[in-house]
Amino acid sequence: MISPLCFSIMEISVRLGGVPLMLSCAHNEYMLMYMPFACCDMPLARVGVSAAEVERLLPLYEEGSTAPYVEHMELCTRACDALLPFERAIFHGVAFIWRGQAWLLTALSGTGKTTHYIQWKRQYGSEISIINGDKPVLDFSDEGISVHPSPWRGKENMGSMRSAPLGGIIMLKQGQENAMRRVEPKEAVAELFMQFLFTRSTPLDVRRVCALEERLLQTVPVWQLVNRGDEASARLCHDTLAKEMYNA
Amino acid sequence: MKYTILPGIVRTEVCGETMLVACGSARGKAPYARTLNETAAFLWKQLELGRDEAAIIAALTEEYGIDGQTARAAYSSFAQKLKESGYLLEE
Repeated sequence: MISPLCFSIMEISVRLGGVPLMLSCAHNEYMLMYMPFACCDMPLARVGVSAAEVERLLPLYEEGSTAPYVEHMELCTRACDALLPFERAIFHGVAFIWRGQAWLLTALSGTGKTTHYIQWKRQYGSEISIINGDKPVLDFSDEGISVHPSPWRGKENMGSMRSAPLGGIIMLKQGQENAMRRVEPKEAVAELFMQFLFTRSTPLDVRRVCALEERLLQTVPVWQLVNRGDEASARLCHDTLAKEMYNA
Repeated sequence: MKYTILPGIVRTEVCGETMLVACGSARGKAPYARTLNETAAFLWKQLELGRDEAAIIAALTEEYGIDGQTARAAYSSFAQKLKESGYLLEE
């Protein structure tokens, strides 16, 4: 499954959200992240980032970022582009399973998604399990939307190989007081759109993501959780979901 | 004053909301995405048709039954905001 090519390019066929893709890498530092997703199926698309592109993008990343890291991150958005024709997308957020369904915590980077998940884990550890800590794959099938793992697991490297049907989305915002409310699909349009991790290279891809987002907003409920990042915010989230989704 | 749309800006709709997305060459020159209210969406479509200020104000007056002065102020505010954020270019 891994074949070294000329110029030390390595290729690995991986299955993301059920779709086999060929990832081409000039660096091997993140190969271990891709290995659990390795498959023998004929890839439906090929994904890679040229060395020139990595060099061009490097200054846009946080200071101290390395070329292997940039390649790894850029492979993510390019993999998302490749998945869009198959009605899959990579989404920015923490995905975990609770009561048999997947829940997405989404927000801008640095807002406290991981902190909120950790608060859930501390208080409801036996009830939840992680799918992916940063960039799960969403699969939009006729049966519904399901959430799958990916090799892009975030700084804390949280992830598993579990999948689950999507239950709902929680948009996190930092605030002085904890408050949670359902939001209308219209209110969430721009914010959720920006969590689809694609390159925005073509108008066709933009329209594909819009079509997927429309399905997302028509299928699952969305909440906004303004929170302090404390234990009480996780309790509020847990209890709100329990009451509104399970009448508990 | 005539404005043109920054190349690469895509107008799209999700759940009835009109949204502008910076795509291709527009990435990094305008915000990632933003929604437009109904009036702004109407004005944007006029710009897509290549209309000048006078034609757009006339269309706005007719569409919403408002006077020319109000329409001019609305268009001016809309165009200024979108120019400042990078979605529009001044010719």
